[in-house]
Amino acid sequence: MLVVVTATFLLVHLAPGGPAILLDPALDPADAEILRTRLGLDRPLIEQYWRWLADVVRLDFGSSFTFDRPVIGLILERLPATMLLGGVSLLFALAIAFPLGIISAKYRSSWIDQLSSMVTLAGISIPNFWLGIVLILIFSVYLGVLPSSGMSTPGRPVSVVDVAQHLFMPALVLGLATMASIAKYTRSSVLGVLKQDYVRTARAKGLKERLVLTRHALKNALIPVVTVIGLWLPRMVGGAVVTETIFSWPGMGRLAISAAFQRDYPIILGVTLVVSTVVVFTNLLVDLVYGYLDPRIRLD
Amino acid sequence: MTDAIRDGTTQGQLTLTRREMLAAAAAAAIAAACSPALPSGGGPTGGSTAPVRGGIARLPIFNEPFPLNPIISNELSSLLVRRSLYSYLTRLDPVSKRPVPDLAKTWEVSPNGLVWTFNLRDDVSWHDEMPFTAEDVKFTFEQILEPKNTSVERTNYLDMTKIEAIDKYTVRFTLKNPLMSLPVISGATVGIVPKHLLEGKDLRTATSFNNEKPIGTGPFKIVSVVPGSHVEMAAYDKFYRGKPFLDGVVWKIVPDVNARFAQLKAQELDYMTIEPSQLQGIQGDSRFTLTEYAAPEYTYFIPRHGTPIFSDKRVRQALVYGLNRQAILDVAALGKGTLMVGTIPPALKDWHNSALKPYPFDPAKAKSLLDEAGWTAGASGMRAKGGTPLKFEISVDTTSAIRRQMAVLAQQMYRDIGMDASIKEVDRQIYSQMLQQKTFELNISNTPHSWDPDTQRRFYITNGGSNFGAYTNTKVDDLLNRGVQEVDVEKRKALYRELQEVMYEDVHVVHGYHPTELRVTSTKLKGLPDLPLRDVMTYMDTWWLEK
Repeated sequence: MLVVVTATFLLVHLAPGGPAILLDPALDPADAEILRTRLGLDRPLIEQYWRWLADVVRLDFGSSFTFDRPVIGLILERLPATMLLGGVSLLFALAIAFPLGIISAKYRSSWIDQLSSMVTLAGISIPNFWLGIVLILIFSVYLGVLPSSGMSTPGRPVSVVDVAQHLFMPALVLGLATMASIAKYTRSSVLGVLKQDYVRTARAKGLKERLVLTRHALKNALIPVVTVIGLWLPRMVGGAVVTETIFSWPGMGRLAISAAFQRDYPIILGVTLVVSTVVVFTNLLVDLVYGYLDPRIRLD
Repeated sequence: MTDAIRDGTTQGQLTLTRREMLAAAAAAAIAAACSPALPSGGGPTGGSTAPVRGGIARLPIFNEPFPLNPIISNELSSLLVRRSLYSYLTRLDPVSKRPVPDLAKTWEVSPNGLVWTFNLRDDVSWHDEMPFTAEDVKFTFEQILEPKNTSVERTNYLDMTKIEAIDKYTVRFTLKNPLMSLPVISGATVGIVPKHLLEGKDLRTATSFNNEKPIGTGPFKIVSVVPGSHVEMAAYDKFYRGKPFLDGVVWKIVPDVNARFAQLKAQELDYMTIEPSQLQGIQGDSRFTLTEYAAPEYTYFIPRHGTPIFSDKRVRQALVYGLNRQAILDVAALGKGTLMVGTIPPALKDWHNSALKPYPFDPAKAKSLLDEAGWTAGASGMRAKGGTPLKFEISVDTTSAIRRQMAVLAQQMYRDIGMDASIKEVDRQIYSQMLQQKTFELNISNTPHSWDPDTQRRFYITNGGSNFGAYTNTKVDDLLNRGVQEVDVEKRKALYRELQEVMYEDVHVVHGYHPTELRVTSTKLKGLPDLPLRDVMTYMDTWWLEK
């Protein structure tokens, strides 16, 4: 984690350009210098780094250059929206991907497998900015049944139905690629397990095919799938830049991309730190789940 | 103020990657979502029926509008929200385009142009119902001039030596040099802030005021601020020009230009400034009104003066003669604009020199000027002088598809006359840094112009704060200084007309075009005066929604 944030610190400070707030053509050069001093950017890079690190240890991520507000507050404001979108899209993806992957493996090369392959291929291939715009055209512009953007209707009390209506399209767009990816891994993993000796033994014992699948095959087939889910989980926190931008979803992804364009160093570093923390903990969680799914891993 | 429009205009039209091509296809899909033949609106959207009360107008902004404090923010989204949140000493008259009273009832200037006295309204209250007085105006200007606030407006008022609240409703400014544009620039830039809430505070860290609950005297007050989503405002019942017709306004944060257009089409927005490429999608749709404005703005090429190539006036003239600007305007902006002829846009009717005519597209003349300057063509057709090739880079930022396309077209046109032009596309911050550090060669820029020509001084006087091309001309310096300080209006006009002639002949920049602002509103939204985006928002108390 320290390596990630240190590398990010160096990259953002060494990248060409500079904080937008200092490059405003309307700002007098003398005033820009005053502002640079105020932001601490006139100090040697190594001093800036140590100060930032010392603050982070005290959970102080600094203040945004653009908003003059604590970064931690900005992140906490956007985290719920991002987690809601990421969580619902992941649930949607899992709800479809598992059955689809298992059925495809079970009925390999059948029409249902081919249909599933087409769906998953499309899910992986279709860019989400294109799909987002097409969905907006269909559901918002032509049919007028769903709001095209935001998380709730401004000026109205927030309700579950209202949020669900706003959530539908972005969750669909974000979930489709996740679903396709997990479905493909599930299919190939189940196929691999079904060829194992212990599955043949289970069948030879006369177990019903459903029981063979659920009791013997599925748990073992989940190991590579859990790895893929582990890779997707940090997105729940890091946000989905494109989807959030198209649907004006007030999440972390938009905060991060806007900070990158504005060269708002404290936000970039704060978001990176939060996301890298989640990645580390997700990896730990995935390792623990491995042990549960396959006790041999615990023994190793 | 250069390039202050940051609305993220992005539609791929150039050398496209697969991703950009798909993005462009998506944009085209939206544009094609409607059909042909619009009775292209034009004119005010006032309508003939009487205004009715009620309704909430939904308007887009492009970024988070924070901080909502006029002293420290120069961001367009923030400005748009602030226009109806705060009030100004003056505002722009839709017809004459001259300042008319707002918070100031009247104003007068001493014969030597050094003392300005503004008489203020006595019926104005802040949104927290505290009374507005001259002390608030004094406080606001003092805060602008306070160096630690690093206000972008400070450079406009550096000659201000004394600010006095003469009585409760009279404020006096004393200057060391005349500043005849004071009523115009104070109306364009300085929203008056409340002394009783900000006195003694560090404006840059007054987070609650700046981001959550700013208090103004404008027609709408802040109800709620939802970061990343929207800002909700409600009509202020005690607004001094009378309660606004609208019940409220919602500013939706929509960074993506295609998403904004989709929201407009889905009738989730009542107002949008569209790109020329989106016109097709709006034509024939009776739910919308299209209005076109010649905004005070220009898109042009800035040469870095003083370099071996561009220090020669003949080369700069060749840059203009060799550029088919009408073709560029037609292709890149679909003809929505007028060719630039001088440094002061035609929208500033009183100040623009209409005797000047656009430089014609004349490649033969361009070649002959280059020959005359000693840049002769070699076997490859490319020119050189004394072994130095006539080679330069056109830098352009990636946020505008129109300017990127201009770069491609210009590159080809310059190569046709033997100039080896290449293109450098950079992201916005690198672009800004190149401007400030003057590390470009030929740069494509876009500048909104204020409604007074005094702005010119900052851009073109030797060593001026925004003189990015490092232009220097003693005659121009003299005219700029005299123009700013001349008290007599007619003499000022004459000085600025002469200035335009000198700069036209000297080719201080390579002329481009003045973009036409394309405003699309819901046909139900009425009462908008004929003013461009930044100024129409100061009249939101007259807007109303048809039932």
